[in-house]
Amino acid sequence: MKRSITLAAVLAAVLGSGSAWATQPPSAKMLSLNCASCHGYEGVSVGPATPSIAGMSEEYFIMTMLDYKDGRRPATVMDRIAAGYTEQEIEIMASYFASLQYRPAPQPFDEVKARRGAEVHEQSCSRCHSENATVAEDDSMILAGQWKPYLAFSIEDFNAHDRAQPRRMRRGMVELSDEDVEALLHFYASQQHHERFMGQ
Amino acid sequence: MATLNRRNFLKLVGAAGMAAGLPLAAHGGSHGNAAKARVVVVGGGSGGATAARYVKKLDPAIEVTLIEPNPTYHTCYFSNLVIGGLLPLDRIRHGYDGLRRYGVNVVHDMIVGIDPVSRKVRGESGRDFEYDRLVLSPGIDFKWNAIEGYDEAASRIMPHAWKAGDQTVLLRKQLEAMPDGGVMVLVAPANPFRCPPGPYERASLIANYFKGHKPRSKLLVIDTKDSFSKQGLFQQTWDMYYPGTLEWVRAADTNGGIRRVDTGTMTLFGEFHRFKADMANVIPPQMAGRIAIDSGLADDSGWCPVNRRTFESTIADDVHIIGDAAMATTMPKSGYSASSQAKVAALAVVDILNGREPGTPSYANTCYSFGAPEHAFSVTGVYRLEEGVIEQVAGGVSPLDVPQEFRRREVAYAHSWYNNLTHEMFG
Ligand SMILES: Cc1cc2nc3c(=O)[nH]c(=O)nc-3n(C[C@H](O)[C@H](O)[C@H](O)COP(=O)(O)OP(=O)(O)OC[C@H]3O[C@@H](n4cnc5c(N)ncnc54)[C@H](O)[C@@H]3O)c2cc1C
Repeated sequence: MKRSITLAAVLAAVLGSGSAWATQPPSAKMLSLNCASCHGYEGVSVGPATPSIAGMSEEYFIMTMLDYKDGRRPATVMDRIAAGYTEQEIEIMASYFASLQYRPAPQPFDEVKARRGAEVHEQSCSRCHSENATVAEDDSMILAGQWKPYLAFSIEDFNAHDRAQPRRMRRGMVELSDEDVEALLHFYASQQHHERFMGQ
Repeated sequence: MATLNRRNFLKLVGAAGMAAGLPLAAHGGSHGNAAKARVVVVGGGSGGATAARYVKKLDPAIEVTLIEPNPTYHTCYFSNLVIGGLLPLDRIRHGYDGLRRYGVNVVHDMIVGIDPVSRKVRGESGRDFEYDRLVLSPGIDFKWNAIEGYDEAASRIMPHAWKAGDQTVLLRKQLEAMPDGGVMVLVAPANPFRCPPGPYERASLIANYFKGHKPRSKLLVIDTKDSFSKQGLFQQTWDMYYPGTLEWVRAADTNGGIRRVDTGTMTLFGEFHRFKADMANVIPPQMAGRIAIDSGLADDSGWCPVNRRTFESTIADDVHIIGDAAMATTMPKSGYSASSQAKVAALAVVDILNGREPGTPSYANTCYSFGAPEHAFSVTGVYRLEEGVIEQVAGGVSPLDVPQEFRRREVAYAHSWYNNLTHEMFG
């Protein structure tokens, strides 16, 4: 796919037919604006379910889009959308969203559950999702401050074995009770202090 | 040899001006030195609000004026949920203070004339607005009397509710007032029209209301087509939830749908059929917003031809037309499409005003429809420009054979879609 586009560009240039812009990919801004109407202005979703994608690591963005594109990750709509973009376009979008500031979602949570969730996180998740899951460098989603329904859907998919996960994560997840999972969601939802995410 | 028309001339002057680091156009008086150029946006709906916001964001030195007659905007999307009694009207109402905060000059006026030669538009108030680039997003108007007897006065008895606001409220009130056991007729138009799945989402949510509140009532959808958008998904929903309540009648069964209405006797006529109704929702044939038609910016089809790379009118210079009014085949006439086209046009306007060649466009559409309160599905499309035509390269509708959990998730995502789309438009 990528190759054929490059070839077309070369041919167009060689043959002098069509102007150069016709085969240039759209700009980062142009491409990323297509995502904004669901994932929010500058990648910060106002919810209630679509995740924020600002500040996502480039690597994780690319992996996610390619998984959707190739049908490796369960989706309602993203598989149909990802199929519309070339790898080159996905890379352009990835570097653009990585440069944007992540902002945690303002959402209600239960204090008691959140405190219990902090323990669950510390015990079962923190080795990979470091710094309370506030950072993109782990090459996973930033979980802290993410919309709760989205996190819940993701966990359902992991537990239904629809969605691939590292073996270590699967081992950890099967040990969690429904209450643990619920507590975890409230812990991530409770992470609403902007300054914890600055510089992401 | 090409003749040097005004557009080429402007381009040359513009390019030379930019190279010398001069403002593109010199403005006297109130514009001072600060305003690099003036962009006027007509219509503060889905396309216009998005275009105004992004032109201003992409180049704050441009003076952006948005002209819209109404102090608030009611989205048509989610208006079917209001009609079905699932949401209050104020949930779909948006004001313009957000855009004002972003530096857009919002003026409440109705544009009654466009002069592309001297580049100004005239308001109903008598005020003139000068522009370097005009963006038009006036939405649709109705072809009154295309269905005999269905004119503006008739729409107060048989509402269309195809522009949201008063008409939405009227239809909702009629539903509440209709006695149990009543028959309602919904007339669906031929293609192309605003929001292809809209009539069927509305039928679903009215049937849902009947089921809960007026279980002996019936809804008859008399179509002007033999097939429609997301048909498999809607019919699956109707079989699941509304058997005996909702009946869809394809055009072939009435020789082409409803041709005449009589609001006095509440009767709707096909070529050989007549339907007596307690209530009727007539969605009439449509065309580009009147200002586009009256200004000669539409062709015989009633829609405005545009260059799909920039959404510049192919009829008048320096005018971009987006949203439902534009011929942007193969994109459907939707709020998301209007927003996507607004972004392509905003980037092009800013490029042109800065003496740059507009970049490669990219377009997208995603729309959700509700079949029931906890049951939604989507259509999506990713588009690119191929030899002047907007080609869909991926997308399609939600799968038919999925667990109910899938439809519930699409309900959650539909709400996110609404919130983010309107937040992007109005702040
Ligand atoms: C029942 C229904 C359900 C829908 N559901 C969906 C959905 O789920 N998803 C989706 O994406 N789309 C949906 N749509 C479609 C969507 O509403 C339209 O496609 C979209 O609003 C088009 O945007 P627009 O900017 O072209 O027009 P509009 O949003 O209608 O805006 C036009 C604006 O221009 C103003 N105007 C007109 N003439 C003038 C003038 N002369 N001077 C100044 N201002 C003027 C009007 O007052 C209006 O505010 C639905 C439509 C309906 C009817």
